Amino acid sequence: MTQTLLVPTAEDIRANATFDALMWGLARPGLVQTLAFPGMLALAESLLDRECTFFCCDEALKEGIAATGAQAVPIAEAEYVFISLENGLQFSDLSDLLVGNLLYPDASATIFAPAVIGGATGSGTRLRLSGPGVNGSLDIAIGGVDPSFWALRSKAARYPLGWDLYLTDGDRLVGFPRSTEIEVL
Amino acid sequence: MKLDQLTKPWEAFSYGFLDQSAKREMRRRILKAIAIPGYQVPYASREVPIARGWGTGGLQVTLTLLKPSSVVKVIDQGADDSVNASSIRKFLRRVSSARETLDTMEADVIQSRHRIPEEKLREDQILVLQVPNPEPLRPVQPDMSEARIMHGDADYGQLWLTLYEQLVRSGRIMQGSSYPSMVNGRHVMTPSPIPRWDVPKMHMAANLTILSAGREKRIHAVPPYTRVEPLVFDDVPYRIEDHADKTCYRSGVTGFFMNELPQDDGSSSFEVSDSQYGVKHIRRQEGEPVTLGETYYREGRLER
Amino acid sequence: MAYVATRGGERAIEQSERLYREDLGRIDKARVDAIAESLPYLLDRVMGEASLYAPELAALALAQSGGDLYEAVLLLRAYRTTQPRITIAEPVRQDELFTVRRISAAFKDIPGGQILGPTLDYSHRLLNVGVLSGEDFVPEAVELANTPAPATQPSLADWQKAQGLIADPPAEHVLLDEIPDVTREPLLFPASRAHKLQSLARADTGGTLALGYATMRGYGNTHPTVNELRLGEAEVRIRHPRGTLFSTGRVRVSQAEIISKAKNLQLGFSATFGWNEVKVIAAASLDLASSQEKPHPASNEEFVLYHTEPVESSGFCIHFKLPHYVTFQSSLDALRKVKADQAANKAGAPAAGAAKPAELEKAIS
Repeated sequence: MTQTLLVPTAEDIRANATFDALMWGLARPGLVQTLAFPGMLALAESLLDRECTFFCCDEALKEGIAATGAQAVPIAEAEYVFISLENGLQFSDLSDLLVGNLLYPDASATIFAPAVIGGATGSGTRLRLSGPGVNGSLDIAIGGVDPSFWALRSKAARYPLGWDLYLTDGDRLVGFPRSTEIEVL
Repeated sequence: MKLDQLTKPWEAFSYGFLDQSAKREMRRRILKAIAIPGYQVPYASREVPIARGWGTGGLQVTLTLLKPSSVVKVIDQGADDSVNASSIRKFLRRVSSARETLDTMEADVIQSRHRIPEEKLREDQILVLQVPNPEPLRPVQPDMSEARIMHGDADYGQLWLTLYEQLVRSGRIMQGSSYPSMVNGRHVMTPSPIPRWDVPKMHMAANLTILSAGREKRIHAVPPYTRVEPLVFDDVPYRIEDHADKTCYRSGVTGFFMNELPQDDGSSSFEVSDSQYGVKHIRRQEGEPVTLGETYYREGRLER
Repeated sequence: MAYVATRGGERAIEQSERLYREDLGRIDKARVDAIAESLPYLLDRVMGEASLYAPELAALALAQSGGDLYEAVLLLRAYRTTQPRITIAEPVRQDELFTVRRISAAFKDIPGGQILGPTLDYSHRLLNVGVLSGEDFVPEAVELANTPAPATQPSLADWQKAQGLIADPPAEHVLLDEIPDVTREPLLFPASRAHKLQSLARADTGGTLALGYATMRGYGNTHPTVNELRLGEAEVRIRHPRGTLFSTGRVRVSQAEIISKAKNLQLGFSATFGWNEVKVIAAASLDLASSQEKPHPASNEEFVLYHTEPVESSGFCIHFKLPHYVTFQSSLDALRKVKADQAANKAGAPAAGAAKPAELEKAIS
């Protein structure tokens, strides 16, 4: 190897910055992370390739994600799920999502969905988060997600089984790992 | 699709050494590790240009995290300039263009073998610990498949039993480093072979810790503000190494984890194990403007 | 202490590496070519363990490591990490292998014949010491057979299956794109067939032999016989995105089938890059032995696959050269405390914080 320093390509820069937001999103649930490269596709590109399965109900996005080599599959088999949580009809299948098993709780789904992310006092469903990554507790308001979703989430998660969730709003992203306890206020 | 869409122009080495597909896998696994604190996520663990057992797990995590704007510190048994730490740091610099530092307070990413620095880590810092054996149950169950079932069932009875047997046989728990600890009340993990002195630093820490075993191909993590509780019996307290009253012969610092240096006359002298923390003290005594960080321990006692 | 810490350590490290490289001297293309030309079996062994078929790079790795095999394998593996996987080649089938050697110990003669090919099996292992005093060793010319052996040979196992001698195991039909790849996924247990054979293919030759030998010698219930041993060259065929299949070249491969004489006939299999007969015979024996019910611990799948991994085992072995003083200090502290507690208890004056018998009693209840 030469002694010169290696520098990142544009693709490296995009993927590294995006992953930073994804990582801190799960490490600090409910804290808003900034996406340097907004858009669901950038999120997908930093994580997915031919070794992954995904589900996406948006045709244009689906095509973009498929170009990473990831395989489109029915929602019940998907490791990465790109979906809208805006109304109950569209997430009626969420009870079938992969939640892992006791030997491999990581064999589970990650959901990506658009939302309206408010602060502690914003409009939308007001949530109180606690658990790993949260210093004490944290309040956040989430709009654009059917309020009944949160009850469905707590029913699906039997820790360590469960799925992890990311919500995006333009260049803003928040994460909700399965370890987070969410109280609807 | 054409052949050239499947591949890309030839390059001797990718940025960060690992190619994109290796990095994506690392990212996916790191996210799962954070989502399930203390659970060992299996991963493929690519070969890297240092030998297995020399920090390849930590290295793969660090390579995935680094950007040219990152500042990275590498320590081995507390020292920045030991053989392995300096070789890893040189390699990281070369493949990532990240800036190197010896100062804990300056670093974004700290890759460490067997120590947590004495200065408190912050919310924006990541500690990457190298892990030789990720399985706290190995001494009671060498079969990995069986051990996995035990973790699945949160069946830690046998582990408690061995700790208890140590108590009965020796009057105290003989576990030196790698003290098994319960994370988020669900998974028992090894904190890696850090001394008992360092384990309490992980409890409700502000920083993110990622622990990676390259040879054994497992990653686990402790997110910020997560409970990490060493396995102890209610009536037998957790005991850290007895270093509170030792003084470093070089820097004069007292109350931190020390390396014992045997002397010709049969006695021992001590030097502070977190080498750069000692250096900072010496430089300060010599009049240089040096900022010392807040420490986990004060006068040999844990700050709570 | 001299090899750790203290400022100036970095300089010592740098010089120690220089010392090693100075002993090996200048490495030029001629040296690499000479290695490639004169040591093909060594290249094969290194390429097999590295699971990277690249004779030129293998020769370079050997030149750079001065022939330290574990270092050479690590160099190639680390290089392999950096290479993208562009596509997946078509499966190579036994009866399509360009076969140069194919023998069976299970039958006196087999359909297609015993093809001895190149081997030292029946030679006298004598050093040609004359070479050292300037008398070159010039190999005698091979006399051509009246009719050349066919380039391809049928599979003996196919014939046995047709005869009803061995059962055709239920074939797992796996799509090309979905073949598990142990270099990209963790090895989990029970291992998939693909992961097991891949792990054996890249296993350490010496380690595989040690464990394989143990099963052959009697630590296990199989009584292995070489059903078929084959050396050949495999065409690497890939599909162009337009759909046409084309050959990208040939790689040397070895493969072995080991048949068990115990109870019913069962086959163990192994294949690897390069010509390495000892490894495939040992690995196929291990495959057979580990597939039995309740295998001996030495041929237990997890035991075998974990402990024959050359990069992991050699790396872990040499990592014990790294300083371990913090870990050691931590244990020392506990040991000293126990001694102090014991002494104090004996003297009837336990120190504050020392474990007292009553304390232990309480912990027990």
